[in-house]
Amino acid sequence: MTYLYVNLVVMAVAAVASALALSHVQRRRRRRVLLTSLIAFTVVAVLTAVFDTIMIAVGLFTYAQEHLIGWRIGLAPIEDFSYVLVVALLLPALWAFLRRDRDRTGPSRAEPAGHEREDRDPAEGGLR
Amino acid sequence: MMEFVTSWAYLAAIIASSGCMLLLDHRFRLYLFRDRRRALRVQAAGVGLLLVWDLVCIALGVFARGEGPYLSGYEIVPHLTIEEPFFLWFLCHLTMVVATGADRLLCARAGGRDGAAASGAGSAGRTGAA
Repeated sequence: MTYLYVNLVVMAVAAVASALALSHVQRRRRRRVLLTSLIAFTVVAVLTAVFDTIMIAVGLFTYAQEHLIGWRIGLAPIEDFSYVLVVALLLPALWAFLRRDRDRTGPSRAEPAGHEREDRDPAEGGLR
Repeated sequence: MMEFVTSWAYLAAIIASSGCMLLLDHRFRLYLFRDRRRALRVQAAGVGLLLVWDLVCIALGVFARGEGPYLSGYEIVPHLTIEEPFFLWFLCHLTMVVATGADRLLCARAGGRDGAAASGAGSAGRTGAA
């Protein structure tokens, strides 16, 4: 169970960090960030089930059986999916948070038209 | 000689896959090619957290380096292979390419619905490249 306990701690930390980051993001945008997180989790979880299985099958890494709860998807221990969950939750939240951070210094713009234009870095010749 | 080539196969596969991610990212200006500084900060946070997580698991004996033929054999610390940071980078980049790509598609749909200047994912990528 050790692996599960470690992952629960990391997932809790990631959940709090994501909530904090998202609390600074516009409400409308927040919903979409969570939706993209959900999509990213679904896609990457499917890829993980396939590729983790391959990676374990060819012996890239091994697990101590006594530390696993024993549920597997393919060969992938269920605990491995916490990595996907944490990354899919935390990174889009952080990405949205850092954008808002920068938006404070620029004119506030409404979502969502002209998305990538308003997003361009001024140093790259953006339109700001 | 063959063994030498085989032992770098995993790292080569990760680097090739990362290269493909960069191509997608570049083509649609999604993440690193949209806002490099912000994306690098997100990547640093992601890879940093996952590395610490790995180290904790290794220290607790949850997982260990495999004995398969596709590992170079070099380690940063015992059981943390040099391949691992590359894999973690790839995992974070893949996730963010999917997330920002999904956001782009949702964006285009919302734009069309609100009657604002709708931009399809494909054409948006091309304008962004100009």
